[in-house]
Parts: sequence; C-alpha cells; structure tokens
Amino acid sequence: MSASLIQQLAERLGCTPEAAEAALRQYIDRIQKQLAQEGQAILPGLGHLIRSEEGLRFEPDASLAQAVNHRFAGLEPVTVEPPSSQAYRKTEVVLPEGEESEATEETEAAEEAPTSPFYEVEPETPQAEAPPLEAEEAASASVEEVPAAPPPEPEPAPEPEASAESAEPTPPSPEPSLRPPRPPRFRVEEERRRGLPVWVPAALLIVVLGAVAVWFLLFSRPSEPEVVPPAPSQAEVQPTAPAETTAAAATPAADTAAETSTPTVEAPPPPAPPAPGDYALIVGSVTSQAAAERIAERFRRTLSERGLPVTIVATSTGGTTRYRVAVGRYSSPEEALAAKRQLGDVLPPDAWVLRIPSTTQ
Amino acid sequence: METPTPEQVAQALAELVQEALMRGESVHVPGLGTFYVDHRGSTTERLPDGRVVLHPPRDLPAFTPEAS
Repeated sequence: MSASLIQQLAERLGCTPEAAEAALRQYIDRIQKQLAQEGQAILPGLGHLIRSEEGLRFEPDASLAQAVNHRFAGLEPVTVEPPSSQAYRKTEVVLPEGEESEATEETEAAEEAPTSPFYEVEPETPQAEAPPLEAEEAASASVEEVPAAPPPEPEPAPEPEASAESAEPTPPSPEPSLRPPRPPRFRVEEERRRGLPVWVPAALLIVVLGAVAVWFLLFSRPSEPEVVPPAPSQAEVQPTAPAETTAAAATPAADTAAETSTPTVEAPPPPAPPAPGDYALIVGSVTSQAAAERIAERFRRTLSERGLPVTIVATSTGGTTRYRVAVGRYSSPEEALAAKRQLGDVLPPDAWVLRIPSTTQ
Repeated sequence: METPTPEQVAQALAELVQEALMRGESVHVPGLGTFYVDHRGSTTERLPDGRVVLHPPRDLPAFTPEAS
C-alpha cells in the first residue's frame, strides 16, 4: 500500500518517487512535531489530529466526511411518533398516486388493494397488521418494529430502511414501497405451454430404439454362403427350396422366397413341420444336364448295390438352372445326415442335404 | 519541480486519501497511520418522550494511528 502511495504521490506531484518519499517523510515529521508540541495538528483537506489520553484522534473535515458518505448522501434521521389508536382507521384506504416507479407486477396488486387485508391501513409497510395489536401499548417501551409504525399524519413520513438505503434525496409522498409480492402464477403456466410436455422426448427415444431393435432383428443378420457345408440344421435346406417350385412351404422359408435368391440366409427358421417332400443328399451341382448325368452314372455304379436311388434335380436359381445329383431319399434331414455318415466312404465329404418337394420328380 | 513543498505534499496526500476513501479503500501513510472507511448501519434511538429516531446508515472517515 505504501509503495503505491509513494508512486501515486510522485505522479500527482510530478516528481521522482524518491523525491516524493522524502517530501512525505518531511511532512509527516512536521506533523508529529506539531502533535508533540501543541497536542494537535492540522491535515489540510483531511481534518485534525488530536492527541488525547487514548491516543491519537482524527476529526475529519466536513467536506471529507460528506465526500466519503456519498453513498448515503441526503439521508437524514427521521423521528417517528409512537403509534396511537387514531392511525388505524379500518375504513380508510389510501392509495397513493403516481405509482410509475413500482414494478409492473405490482400494478396488478394495486388493483387488489381495496380488498386486501394489507391495505386496511395507510399502505406504507407490509407490517400493517402488526401495529394494530401494538396500538394498545402505545406509549410503552415494547415497540420493537418502529419502522413499521405509520404516523397518523403524512409528515414526517417514516421511510423503511430499505428505501432509506436506496438514497432517495427527498422523502417521497407516502408510497407503498413494500408490497406483498404477487405470486408469479401466470409465469409458471406460460413456461409449461411453450415447450413440449416432459414425457415427449422420452417416448420418442423409446420408439426410435424399438424401431432400431426391430430392424436389427429382422434385417441385419449375417449372410451365409449358398453352398453350405453339411451342417445339422434346416437352414441350408430352406434357401434352395423356395427357388424350386410353387411348393406351399409352411415353413418360414416362404419368407425368403419373397427375396431374391442371394446367398444370404435369413434367420434360421424354427424347425417347422416339413412340407410333403423327401430329403436327399446332393453330391454334385452343375449347370449342365450332361455333366449331371455323368456324375449320376458314376454314383449309380457305386451305390446300386446299396439300393439308393440316384436322380437329377433341376432347380432354377437366379436365372441359372442347376442340375443336382441327388442320392437317396429320406424322410427327414437327420435321417439323410445319418445316411451320409454311413456312406462316408463313397460320398464326397461336402455332400449336403436338400429337401425335395413331392411335386418335383 | 524537483522537490515538492510540504504544502504541495499535504494537498496531494489529501486528494489521494479522499479518493481512496470514496472508493472504499483504506490508505496507509507510513509514519502516521491508516485512513479507512468506517461503515455504520442504521440505528434506532429512543427518545425519552417515547418518540423514536431512525438514523440512516453512513460511511465515516476513520483513522488508526501507527504503533510507535
């Protein structure tokens, strides 16, 4: 603090800080000497320093005091008369004019004034209800809420502390500077009407998530190759079946029939009761009938003694007709696979099960 | 001006102190003491005849001498 004081002094005086410091010290010494000799010293522009038993006392100049008190300038002490029974005439309602200074929300309260209990007395304070009780003990010393007591006559108008601290230069005409606040009912309602109800975003989110889940379950299963290695499931049987004919397939394979015969296999349908048809083991699938015949002949030679029929099944898949050599006839895919295991020596390892509807052949 | 006169110092000091006090700050003058603002809240004074005087709040310039 002192360092900046010296700096500021130097700036004011237009000299070096060292010179300012020296001059200040000189001045202070002079003051101290005066105090020691005369018991008091004058600080021009500030006030008087007076030596007393307690120590050094400072009496500020009026100009300094006024300047320092600028925040509360113009406020004078106010004398308040003790409350008397005359002040509370219940019939009289005084509404002050000139309420432009009030907030807009309070203008509505003003219209209620004639009926509100707060305004049965001169509407000066919100504690108008308390003083009627104190009217009994008018001159007693138990008056605590003095600022709330309204005088019978307009002058001197008591100012509540709040308005006093707002530094009004002149006592205003009796204005109700404190009113019961109006509950902001309408504001709350307006807020609700403007936006969406609270539950709408949550419901939308749930709907969107549900749609995503449905899409995922139905449409985004991973694909499987068309030529499926022998696996104990109906999935491989189904994809070729719909391409064959108008077999009334009661299985969910009918769903896949609606799609193009791409290698994608839909969700493995539950093992529905197989439509009338047999199951055979496919040992070869070629696009030429002649080639299929050759393969069939070859298998007939090896399998004839086992009593297994070897036929050629023609199917159109995606524009191409494939000729498949089917070995054996079984009434269930499990049976076909069991036979395949037994015939492991003569059948190729990648033989697979095909369902052949009874309308074919 | 090289060396300021005591009168000039006194006036400059007074100005500085007053401005600082008006801002609410305190000023320490080395060798003398500290000038500060003393805030008094509003008070009620009861007169003997039952009347009550309401004093407004105010800020007063105050001074604490330096310990020496």
